[in-house]
Amino acid sequence: MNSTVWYIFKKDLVRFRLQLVVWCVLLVARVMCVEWAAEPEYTAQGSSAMMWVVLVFLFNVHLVVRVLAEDSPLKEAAFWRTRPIQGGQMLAAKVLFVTGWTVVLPAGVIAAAAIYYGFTPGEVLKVVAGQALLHGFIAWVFLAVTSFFQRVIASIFCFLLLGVFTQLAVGRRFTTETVATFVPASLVVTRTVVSVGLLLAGCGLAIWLVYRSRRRTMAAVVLAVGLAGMKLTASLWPWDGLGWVSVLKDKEPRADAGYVVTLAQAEASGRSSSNGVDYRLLNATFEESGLQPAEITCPYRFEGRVVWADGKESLQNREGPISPAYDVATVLRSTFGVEEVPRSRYVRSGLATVTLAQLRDTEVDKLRQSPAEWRGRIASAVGRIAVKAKVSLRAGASAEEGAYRLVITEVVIGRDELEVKLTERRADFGDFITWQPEAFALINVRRKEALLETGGGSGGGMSGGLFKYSRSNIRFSTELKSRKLTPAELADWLKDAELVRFQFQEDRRVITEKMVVPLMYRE
Amino acid sequence: MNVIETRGLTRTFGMKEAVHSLDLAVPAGTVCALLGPNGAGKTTTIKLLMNLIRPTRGEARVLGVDSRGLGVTEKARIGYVSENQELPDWMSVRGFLDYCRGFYPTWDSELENQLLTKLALPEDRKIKHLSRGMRMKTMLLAALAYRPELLVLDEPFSGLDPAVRDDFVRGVFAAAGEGDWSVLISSHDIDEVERIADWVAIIDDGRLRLSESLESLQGRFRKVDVTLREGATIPDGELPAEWTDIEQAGMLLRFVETDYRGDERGRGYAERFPDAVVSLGVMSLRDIYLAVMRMPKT
Repeated sequence: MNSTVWYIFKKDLVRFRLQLVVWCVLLVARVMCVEWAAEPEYTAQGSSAMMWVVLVFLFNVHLVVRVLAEDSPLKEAAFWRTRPIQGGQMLAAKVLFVTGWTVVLPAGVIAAAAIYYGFTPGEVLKVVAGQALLHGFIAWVFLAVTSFFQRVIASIFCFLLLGVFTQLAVGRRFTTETVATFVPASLVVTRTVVSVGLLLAGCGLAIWLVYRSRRRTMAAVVLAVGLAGMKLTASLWPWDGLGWVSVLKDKEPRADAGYVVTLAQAEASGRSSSNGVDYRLLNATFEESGLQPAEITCPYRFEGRVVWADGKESLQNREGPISPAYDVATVLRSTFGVEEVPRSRYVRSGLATVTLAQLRDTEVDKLRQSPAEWRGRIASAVGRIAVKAKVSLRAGASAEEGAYRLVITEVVIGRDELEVKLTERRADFGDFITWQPEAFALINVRRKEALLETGGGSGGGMSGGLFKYSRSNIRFSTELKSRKLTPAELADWLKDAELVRFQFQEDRRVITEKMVVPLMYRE
Repeated sequence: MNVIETRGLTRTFGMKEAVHSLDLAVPAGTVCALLGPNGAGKTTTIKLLMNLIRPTRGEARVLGVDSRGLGVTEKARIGYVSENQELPDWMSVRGFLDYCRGFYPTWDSELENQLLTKLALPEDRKIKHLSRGMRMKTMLLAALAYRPELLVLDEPFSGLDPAVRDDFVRGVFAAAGEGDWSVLISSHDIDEVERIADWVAIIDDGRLRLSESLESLQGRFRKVDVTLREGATIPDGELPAEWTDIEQAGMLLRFVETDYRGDERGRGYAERFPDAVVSLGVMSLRDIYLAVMRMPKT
């Protein structure tokens, strides 16, 4: 390597040594968190993954802005401009440093973890490549925009603009599902690599122009052309592969996308001592007859057969509308099964998961043969230690008025808990988090009981035990705490459930609005 | 041979022409003072020479190379000190010098240590904690230690106290005395510059007013006092174009002769003012500069 490049690289290494240490600590902590989160509570990874994305985002802003500001390509007063350093050398040093920080280092830590968890060399390579691509993509976008503007606010603004731009570009034309249904997985991976590669190359060329010849206009044109290219090829982008654009997933399907999906199946063979009885969820099938684009939901039919430890069996049959939106993890769980791919071996940041899973040849073939498999509706997760079963219903309901759409994500029956996860969505903006003081609750007027969010967790989760409901307030009742619901009781309870919006007033949860919601979770 | 040579060098910023068709030549081995009022285009000219900005028209050659093509080799032969230059503030003085050393094969560690002592710089102090004067001295040291063939100083005395200025000038002297260096120095501080310069270029409003050796300049500029006898009047007729800055107070006529040629000129005064007492005075660079600035622009 050119000695000048190496020299500048070492200087930056010394300059940012403290940040480097913090970054390493975060990377290691991240890997450890993944392991913790994977057992036994998979959903806990959702919030940690979000935190991680935010951290990566902030660190990249910090890093790129500082590294470039240290030897600015544009400032006439920059020290290096009058020294015997070529623009190309400076660029190479900066790229080397940024790549090392944002790509090589995270990839190295992930690789170490993957090897520790027994990944095969091929899998390690794929996971590392996925991580490198994810981190590198964010870093390079920042590198490109900040090399123009040299201001933190400007770069963040541009990044947001890029996000808005891609949203507009993808818009409502395709759902992720549509793309993934009709595009073979291998092609999706290829397109990911090609698209991201082209974007990185475009950004790199733009930066090179700035450093090397300082042709800002030309560089701006290159970046603009790159963005235009993104717009043109946006429909081909496999958004599932990029965690940071996951918000785009829940878009309306095309009007002509009403294909018929026949059946999806999932099994769970766990044991639980929930509610005083052991049970096994042996087989759950799911059926849908087609999409109804106007509703963003589609009808489904669910059949669940529960065999209890005492030999009794119970069947659960439900029908209703359902959301076509699924996250990657759900798809993986439903399609590939948790037994085959232990969750603890995943770094759940979207791309790595997909990359690894999608490249399992036999599963890819399965996807090609049956789009319905991809759209599996039932997932069962059986914890290894604390036995727990989750029935991920993914059922949706629309309020008659307003843009809200509420989706019951899953029902968890655990040793000591009953949990109904509920996600609030808006048709135009995808998922967003419900936060206090406004939230939703499911109430059963007849029984004067309510199910509502108890923790301040993210994801709009509605969880916890039963609450006492009155006209003016919903409050926790110790009497109800000990109450356990079997799946059948839960279904029965939901029959009379209504959805309400409430607000906190001091320590009281006051119902402010009752929404007429045709809940789908009814037999 | 000229270390700096510009031909028709022009730079515009929007509608404003900061440098207009500049034809400047600085001979090798000279210390050239680039003088001019605020906004005259001195810094822009230096930026053009250093390829920090690109000319709109014309060309500049530095060390025989087109300034737009200054490469690593040429930059290793040029020392640059500017009041506006950013330094890696997080480095200590020693760290900064160590960092710079790696870029220059001709770095003279002995000279570095000599200058370090002479300029009384605290090696372990971080640059961000240095005073303005110390920053400038650090920059000067980093620019001198590799014995550049051309040293470019852009407003090096700005805001420095007299003691630091003196240190600075002595530093330049000390280094320049050991080799055949050329120096281009832009400054408002004419008195300080006069101590080291042997070539002067004055630009005003982006245009070159003059460029010649200090010796030649001081040879042809004279302050002339003509004391007329009582009752005498200034002879009719147009005054020579070489006379400028003309003042009259009572019987005293004072002007600046810009084309003094020894006795020949003296005889001309005697003819024009037969009964007057004429006295001639040598002018400092400062007076010459002011006289030039008062001359009508051509």
